[in-house]
Amino acid sequence: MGSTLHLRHVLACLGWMYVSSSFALTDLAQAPINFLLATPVKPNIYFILDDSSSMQWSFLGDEVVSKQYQNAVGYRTSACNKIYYNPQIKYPVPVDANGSEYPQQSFYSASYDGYIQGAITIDLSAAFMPWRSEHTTPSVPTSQDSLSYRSDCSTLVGGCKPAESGLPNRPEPAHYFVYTGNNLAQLGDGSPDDHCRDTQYDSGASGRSNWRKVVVSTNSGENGTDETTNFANWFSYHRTRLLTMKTAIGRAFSQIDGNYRVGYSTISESGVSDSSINFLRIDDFTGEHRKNFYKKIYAAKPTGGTPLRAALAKAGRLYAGKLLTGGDDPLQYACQQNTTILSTDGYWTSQDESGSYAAKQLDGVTDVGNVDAVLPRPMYDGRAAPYGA
Amino acid sequence: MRSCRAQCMTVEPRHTEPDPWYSVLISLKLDGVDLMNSYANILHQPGADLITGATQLAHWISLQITRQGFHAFAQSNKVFILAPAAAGAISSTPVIESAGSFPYTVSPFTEVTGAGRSTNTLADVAAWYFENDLRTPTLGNCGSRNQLCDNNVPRPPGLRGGSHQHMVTHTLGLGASGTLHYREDYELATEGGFSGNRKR
Repeated sequence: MGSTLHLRHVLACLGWMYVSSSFALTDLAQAPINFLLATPVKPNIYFILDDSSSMQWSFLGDEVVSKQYQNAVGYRTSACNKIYYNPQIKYPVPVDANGSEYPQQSFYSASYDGYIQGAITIDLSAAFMPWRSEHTTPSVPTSQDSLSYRSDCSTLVGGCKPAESGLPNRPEPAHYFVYTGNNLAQLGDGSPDDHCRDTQYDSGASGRSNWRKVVVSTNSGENGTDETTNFANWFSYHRTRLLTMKTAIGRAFSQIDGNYRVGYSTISESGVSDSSINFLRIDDFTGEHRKNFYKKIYAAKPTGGTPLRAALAKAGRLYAGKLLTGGDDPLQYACQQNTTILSTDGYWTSQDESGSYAAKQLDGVTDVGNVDAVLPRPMYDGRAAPYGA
Repeated sequence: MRSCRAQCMTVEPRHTEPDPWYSVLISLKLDGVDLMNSYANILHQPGADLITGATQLAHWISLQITRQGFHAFAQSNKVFILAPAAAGAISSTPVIESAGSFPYTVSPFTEVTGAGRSTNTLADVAAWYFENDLRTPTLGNCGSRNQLCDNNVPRPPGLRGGSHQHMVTHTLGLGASGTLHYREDYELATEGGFSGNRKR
C-alpha cells in the first residue's frame, strides 16, 4: 500500500506551495527553511469495504461450494479452501485504533466472532464445526446482542447442506487436513484427479489416502508445538472473509498516521453521513477520527448484493466535491493525491444500485460508458488491441 | 449504448546514428498550435532500446499536453496521442520540430472506434474517474478560494496518469485466482505477467 503513495511527489508538491506563497510575502525569511514546519499536503485514502452477504462465508474460492467440497476434505484444508486454517501461518490478532492488540483467543472458549462483544464461544477441543448453515445441527448461532449470524457457508440454492454420505459436519474436535497425494496441480480443478473431492483420509502418518487428518492439540503443530491458540485466533479473527478483511485492514492501517487523510465506506452504504456506522468522511487519520475508522470497520455486518460500481463512483464523486463540500470536502489542495482502495471478494452486481448510486459520471446522471475501449492494454477490454500495436 | 470514439496519432522515435544519446522534442504543432506547453526530452541510456525511449517520450509528452485534454501513452516502440472528443474531427497531420540525434516518424490522427466489449463495468468506473478532470471552473467545484482546480498533481515518472485532479483506484481482491504474479516494479517492467498482458 505504501508503495502506491509517492512521498517524494508529495514533498515536491509541498515545495511548490512554499515557493508560491513566499512570492506573495515580501519579508525575507529570518530562519532557514524548515520543511517539517510547512503545512504538508496529505494524501487522501478512501477505503471501501465489501460488506456483501458472501463476505460472511468461511470458504474462499467459489469452487469450494460449486464443486461440493463442503461434505468432503476440500472445505477442511487450506490446500482447497484458501481461507481455512493453514498450520504454516501465524494468525495475528487484530489491533485497535491505538495499535494495541486484541486478546489471544482461548482454544476452549473461542469467540464465534472476535469482533462482537458477548458473541457465543465455542469449545474448539470438542464442538468445532468446519461450517454452519441453517441446515446444520446445531445451526447458525444467535448471539446475546441480538445479532443473528448469517450462515458462514453458502446460502445459495443447493448450497451448504450436510450430505447423506461424505464427511459429517457435526461438532467434533478442531482439525485440518494435510495433502499427501501426488496431484497438487489438480487440486480445485474439478477433474477426476481433483483430490479436494476426496472423503477418504488417514489419521496417522502412514496410509494410502491422499490426505492426513490432523486433530489440533497442544502438540499437533510443527515439531510437536502447541497450535491450539493459533487455531483459536484463526477461528475468531480470520475464519470468514469479513473477519480476515477486518483483521488485515486494521493491522495495515495501524501503519498509517496523521500525515494521511483516511475515509471509509461499505458498499451497501449509498449515503455520505458520518452518523451512519457504514461511512466516515475523509479527514486526518488521528484522534477521534482514527477511532471512528476502527469502530466502523470492526462493526461491519454482511448484507445484500455487490454494488461495487456504485461504491466506486461514489468515491469519485466525493473527490469531485459533488457529495460533501466546504470543510467536509476531501480535497484541500489542487495537487493532493486521491486514492481509493476497493476491497471485494467477488464480481459486481447491479443489485442494490439505484438512482445516482450506480455506474455514473460525476453528474450522478450520465452512465460512465465504455471508457476503457480507447485506452491501451491492459485497460482495454476488447479482443484485438485498438491501436494495431 | 454506443462505443467510445476517439482520434489517435503516433509519434515514433527512430535511431539513425549508431549511438544516439539525446533528443529534444521542441514542439508538436497541430494546425500551427503547439499541443505541448514545453519541451519533451529523451535522454538515451546506453543499451536502452526504442521501447524504453518511447515510454520515456510518452511520459514527457503527456506531462506537457494534459491541459489540452490530450493523453499520451506508449505501446511497443510508438507513442500514441489520444485526442479528446471535444477536439472534433482532426484532418491535418501534426508537425514535429526536434533537435538531437533522434528523428521521428509522425502519423496523422485517425479515428479509433471503440471495440472494447463491455460498457459501464467496474473498470469503466475506475477509468472514468482516472481519466477525467474532476475539478474545473466549468464544473464549479474549485473551492471557496479557487484553490482546487490547478492541474498540478504530481505523479510518478513513467506511469500513466495526469496532472489533473483524478482518482487512483487500487483493488484488494479476495480469492481471485490467476497467473499474474506481483512484482514491485510491475508497471514499468518489460517482462512478467503485467507486461505480457499489455502486449496481448
